[in-house]
Amino acid sequence: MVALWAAGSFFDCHQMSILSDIADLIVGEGDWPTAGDAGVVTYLDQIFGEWAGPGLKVRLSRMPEQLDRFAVEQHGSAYVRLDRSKRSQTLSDYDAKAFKDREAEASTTYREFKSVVLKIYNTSAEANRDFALVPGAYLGNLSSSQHLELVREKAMGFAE
Amino acid sequence: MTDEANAEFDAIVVGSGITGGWVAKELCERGLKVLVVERGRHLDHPSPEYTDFEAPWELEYRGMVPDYLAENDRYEMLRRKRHIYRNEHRQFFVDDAEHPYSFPDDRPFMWTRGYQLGGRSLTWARQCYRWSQKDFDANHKDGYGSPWPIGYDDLAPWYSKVEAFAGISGNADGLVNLPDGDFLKPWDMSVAEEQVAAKLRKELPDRPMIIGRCANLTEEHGPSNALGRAVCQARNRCSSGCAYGAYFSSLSATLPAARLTGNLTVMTDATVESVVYDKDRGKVTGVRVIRTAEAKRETYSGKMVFLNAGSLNSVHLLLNSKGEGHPAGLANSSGMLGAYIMDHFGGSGASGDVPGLDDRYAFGRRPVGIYVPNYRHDQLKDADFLRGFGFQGSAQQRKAERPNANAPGIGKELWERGQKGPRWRMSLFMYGEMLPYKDNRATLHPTKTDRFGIPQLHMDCEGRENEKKMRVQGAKDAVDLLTAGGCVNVREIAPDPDAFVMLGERTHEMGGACMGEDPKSSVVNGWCQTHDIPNLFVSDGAVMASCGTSNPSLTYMALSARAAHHAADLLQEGQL
Repeated sequence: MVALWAAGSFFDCHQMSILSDIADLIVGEGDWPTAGDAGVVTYLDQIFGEWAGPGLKVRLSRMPEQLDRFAVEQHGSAYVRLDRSKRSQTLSDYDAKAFKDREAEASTTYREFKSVVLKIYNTSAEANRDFALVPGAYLGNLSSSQHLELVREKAMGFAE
Repeated sequence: MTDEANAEFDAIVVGSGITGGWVAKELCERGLKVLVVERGRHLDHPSPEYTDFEAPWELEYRGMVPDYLAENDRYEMLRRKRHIYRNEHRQFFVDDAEHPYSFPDDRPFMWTRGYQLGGRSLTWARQCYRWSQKDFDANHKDGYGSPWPIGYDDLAPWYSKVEAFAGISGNADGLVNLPDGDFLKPWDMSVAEEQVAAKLRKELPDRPMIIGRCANLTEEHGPSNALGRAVCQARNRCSSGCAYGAYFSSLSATLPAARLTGNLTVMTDATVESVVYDKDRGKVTGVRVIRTAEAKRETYSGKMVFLNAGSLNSVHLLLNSKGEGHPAGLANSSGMLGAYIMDHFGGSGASGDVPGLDDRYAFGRRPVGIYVPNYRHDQLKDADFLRGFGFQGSAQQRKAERPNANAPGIGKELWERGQKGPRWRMSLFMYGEMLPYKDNRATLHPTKTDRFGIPQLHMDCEGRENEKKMRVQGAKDAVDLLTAGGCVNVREIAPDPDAFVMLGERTHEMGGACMGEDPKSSVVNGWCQTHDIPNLFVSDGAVMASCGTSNPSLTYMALSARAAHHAADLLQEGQL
């Protein structure tokens, strides 16, 4: 079962729950912040009402249902009811289909969503601990330790 | 009537971008009273509209251009150039839906415009290269276009003048095809670029790879510091505006210098509709202006008029200044006004991994890449085309720490996809010189108009067989360069050989009021003075008789400074 989220300012609780789960699976877990850590879907929900056009709003609101249908075909159950392992497998298959069958509306919508999720993630403070707003200079040939020293000195969110 | 409308200026300069700024500065410093008319809004430098101090997570919509604009066909140019422009730059670009232009359905044209004080000098790529004599010889050599009436020696002192004021970083490379200038210290190459460049010096010595030359201050620089400009901080946020004034723009450099003279008047939110021509005197007397907020029309008087509205807008203005005795537009006795529209074109190149440097890193965001100047001026054996091309590019560290937003896979698979291969990857992109074709034209649309009733500009132009052949060779050459430079996993970037070559993609649109010796086949003379009207000058990209392969802004600036001094001389001598 996906974790349940409260309704946002644009998405209802069902949409928030599914979209957050998908975003977490897309970004995955490792030695990097998760989509949840980076507040990806929370941010998307905040901007979506004014940022998205009517067409994308309609398309994205259909995505949970489309994913559910795919999950039923694959595992005989709606996406939200699957355990994490099966949700991950379902999304992985759905992702592969979206990049193979690029013209289908469901594929386009998923790729749009994935692209936005990763853009929000990649521009988050959590994913940019090494970002230096003002590097001060360009140095093109550094050792790892010299580079780390500069990141430590200049990056806004650097933490050992 | 405003005070300005009652006054007579020594000169009216239409446009405040990179060339308008230079003309204004030079004329003001010669003691002339100058009115600069800018159709866009007023901006100060530094401006509250700059977004250069916002971290990626602080930017509106995180830099993503609003989707609702796409659904309403707005800001089409900005969206198509999403690889270089993002939402934080949008305020400096025109919404095509608000400022429409026209083109045939099967021959689209991309017009990048910035309507604000400073124009596109706020968002230019800042690459600065002198033309060589070979560039000026091109039309004469193969017979295309109007032969240049000037050569490198005419422009060299003016290149020096603008470089000395603007502050251009670069290395004195000693190349015949790319003359050296008066440079500030160059930016460093990355370790991977050094490695590839060194191998090329050995393997393909006729195709040198050098660090790009650009208008970002790399060290303290007297004339710039005097205007409050500071050294570049390697942020590569230039198109957001730069509070340091570290890159040259008319907003941060030429217009402030002109203001210091006390001779400059700037009028913004004012669209010049036409140039006023006195047929009895055979001279222009000023410009008709629409104050855009009130849609109010006024006339401003000047002893001379300089058109620096940007190549196509200057041509548009002359075409729209038609009247009795000049039904096809002002300064158009040759019939060449609007002809020979050109742009650099690309579409081909290559990329490859640079091996052996996985333990080396770069820090900072350099605002310039590497450059391979045109090495094909002289016909090489494998060339089935005229003219030549060069390459721009860079070798950068693979962004393994971020998942690719448009790649397949989820979770670990997605992250690992970006971590495969060596740390450094180099890319080269071709910049080709298209031939000047008389039939590549800008005209007034017969029926479509803008909100003020001014006929829309209609662009009908394209790259042709010569450019398509060159594009094919460009991809092959890029692969050869990277291979000779020691790259591995080299991938060719080669479009369909028959694919349409669209003009305007490189934002180097030029021509339309070409320079030439012969008044029957060109619009302006070697001083950017129209053949037909002695006190009417055009000194932006419209006057280019050929397009070369190098970024053109430095040449526009040198031509403008030179033209301004010539005009001031003529005025002083009572010849205007």
